[in-house]
Amino acid sequence: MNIDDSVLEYDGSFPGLLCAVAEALNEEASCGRLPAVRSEKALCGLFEDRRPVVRDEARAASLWKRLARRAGEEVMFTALDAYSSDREGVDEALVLALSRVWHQGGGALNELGDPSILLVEQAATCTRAEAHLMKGLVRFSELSDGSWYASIRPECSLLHLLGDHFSQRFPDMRWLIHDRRRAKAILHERQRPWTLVEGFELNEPKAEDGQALPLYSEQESSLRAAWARYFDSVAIAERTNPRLQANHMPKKYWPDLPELARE
Amino acid sequence: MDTSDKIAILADAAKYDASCSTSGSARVNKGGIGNAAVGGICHSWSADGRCVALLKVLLSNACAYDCAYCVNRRSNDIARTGFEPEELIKLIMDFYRRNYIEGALLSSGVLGCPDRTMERLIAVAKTLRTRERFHGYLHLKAIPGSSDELVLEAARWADRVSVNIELPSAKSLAAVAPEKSPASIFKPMRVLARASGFEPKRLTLGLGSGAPAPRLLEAVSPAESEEKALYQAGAVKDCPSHADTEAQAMYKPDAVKAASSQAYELPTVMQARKLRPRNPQSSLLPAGQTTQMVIGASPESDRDILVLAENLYLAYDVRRVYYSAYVPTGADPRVPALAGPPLLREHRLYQADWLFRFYGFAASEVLDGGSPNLDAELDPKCAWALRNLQRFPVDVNTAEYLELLRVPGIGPKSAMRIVRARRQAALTPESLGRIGVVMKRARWFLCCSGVPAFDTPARGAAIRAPSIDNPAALRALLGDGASSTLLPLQKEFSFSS
Repeated sequence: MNIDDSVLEYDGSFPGLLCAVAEALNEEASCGRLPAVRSEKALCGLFEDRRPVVRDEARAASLWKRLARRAGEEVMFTALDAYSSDREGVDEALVLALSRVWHQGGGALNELGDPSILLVEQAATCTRAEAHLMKGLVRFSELSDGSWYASIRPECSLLHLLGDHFSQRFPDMRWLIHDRRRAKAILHERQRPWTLVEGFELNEPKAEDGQALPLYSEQESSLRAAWARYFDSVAIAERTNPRLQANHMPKKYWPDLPELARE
Repeated sequence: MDTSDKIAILADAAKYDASCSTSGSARVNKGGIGNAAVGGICHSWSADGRCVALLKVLLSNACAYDCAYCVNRRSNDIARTGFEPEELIKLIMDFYRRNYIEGALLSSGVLGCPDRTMERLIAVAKTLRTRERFHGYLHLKAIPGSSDELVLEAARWADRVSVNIELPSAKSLAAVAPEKSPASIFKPMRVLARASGFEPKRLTLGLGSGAPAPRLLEAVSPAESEEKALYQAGAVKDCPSHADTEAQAMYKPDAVKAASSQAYELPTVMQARKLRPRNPQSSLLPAGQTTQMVIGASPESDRDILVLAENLYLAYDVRRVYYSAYVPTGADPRVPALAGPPLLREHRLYQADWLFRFYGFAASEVLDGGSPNLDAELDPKCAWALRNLQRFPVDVNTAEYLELLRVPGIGPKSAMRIVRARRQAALTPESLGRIGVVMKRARWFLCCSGVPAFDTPARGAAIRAPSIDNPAALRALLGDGASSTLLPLQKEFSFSS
């Protein structure tokens, strides 16, 4: 085994990946060969020699800037969205794709005949498509304190694509969208920019004497019922087509939809 | 009756309106709540697979009209009710805050005269916009026969206003919807076209080469001839119908030039839509107008329907024509007794409609095979390709975008990707599959730098290549299975009812 086979390891975050890309580009420049990059979360091969790359926000930001200047910021957002798909192998494809962007400019991402470039394009499309779907499928519930809570379980890590949309739509509401698959949330305070919260959990409200308080506002359950009633009434029985329904709105999303997850 | 029961009745009464689109408006939040998303957002899909984006209800299902196809006709014995305006406004706001809906589609049975009904609809929309400071999507139905002033007033508050054309010919409209006339439908459509910045095109009989003889034999009064002409093939003439200066200014000189250079040849719907600049930020009717036809309640052929749809796109710049398979709603001798809604026919019409808007097809091309109806087994694009095999194979590495769009298995997305990808390197059959071309269909119609694509083995079992000049064998390979999925749905209904 020789040093050329060694693998750069990053911490599994997007800035971490960018640092690994920066390191890989350096090594490519000095020894003419782009090293492989893997997440520390990925299983280690039996004879794999891993060299960790430290996550450094400044280094990541500087690579983002340099690549954006070279190829346009759009390319970097495509990279971010592709990474956010959480698809297997997309990080390794991104290393190849970004190194080609570094050498050839943004046009490199048009070479869809290249499997890595194609994977990046498809992964980014997948995140954006699911984010678009979520703009419709997020369901807010009014909590007893007057704020609004929504729970989602998307395949892709897409909260960053929802923040602006819901801030513009509900600027006067205090709301939170909770990605329960990743324990992340975006929080919006009235008339303020939204923020991302890592490690979020929804706590049951309790009175001072420890007694559990109702989580939802008084009218919440009757409104959910009214919505479910509307949902049932608007379907045309003679056209019933459950397959078409599930094609548009896969069943994995149903538990978080009051019209389909009946109490 | 409580609100929940009213929802059930008034949503049930409104559900046959197929329009649920929320695209075309970019209304911004100017303090208050809500905005519109220009691409539109679907919020759910009901058990019939149709998208649910708007709270689609009638203000009231009491109706003075007696349209045979309509569940709310006065002769139908059903429960009648109506929302109090405040009740409906609260419901819309409560649903909107929960992100259940993108906005509302409000319609109503005709109570008293059309103007009175229109005023009630406008009042709800106006209160939402002013008092509630609601900037979400609002779609109002214009009641046929209401005054121009009220139609314009509706356009002030709504993102989209629509009038349903209902039946594909004047004759059927007279037979089935006695209280509605073509004039009462097309007049508000002209007002709406102008409100969204489009000067309606004049319609004259028998223009264009090879236009068929007028199919409407009843006497046409001069005032009504324009409406009648809409039902004719090749009837749209590219000049403004009214020469007032304001209208002239709105009329785009570029569009005239592009269209007039082709003599009497009509532009395709796709060309016309490209030439027509739209403003999603407009404060007046940003999402324009749409319309809907009931399919299967009257004897018209697919050709009649598609010709009318094309004319509507060209003459009034409607954003969408919806086709609603007629669902039998109780026995009425004026409409045929169907076993179930003609879903397969509706599906094929929508496919043809997509060919108009996104693939550059003309109605005359979609049905150039002599048959007045679309092929049940093939999608209209495959059927067209089989009738026009002399235009294939198309070379993906040199063909223009519009030529690529004509290949079965290639859509606007994959055609764009082909154009993007071939700038970097010549495409091979293998890479086409990876970028989203449906090779199962496209392989028979493509070549890559001169090499036919069907020589490459198919994934899984190898299909023996039928020669491109053997349409029968190709036909068997190109069926999309829509008949096998949609026909059973119809039959199932006919057994259970």
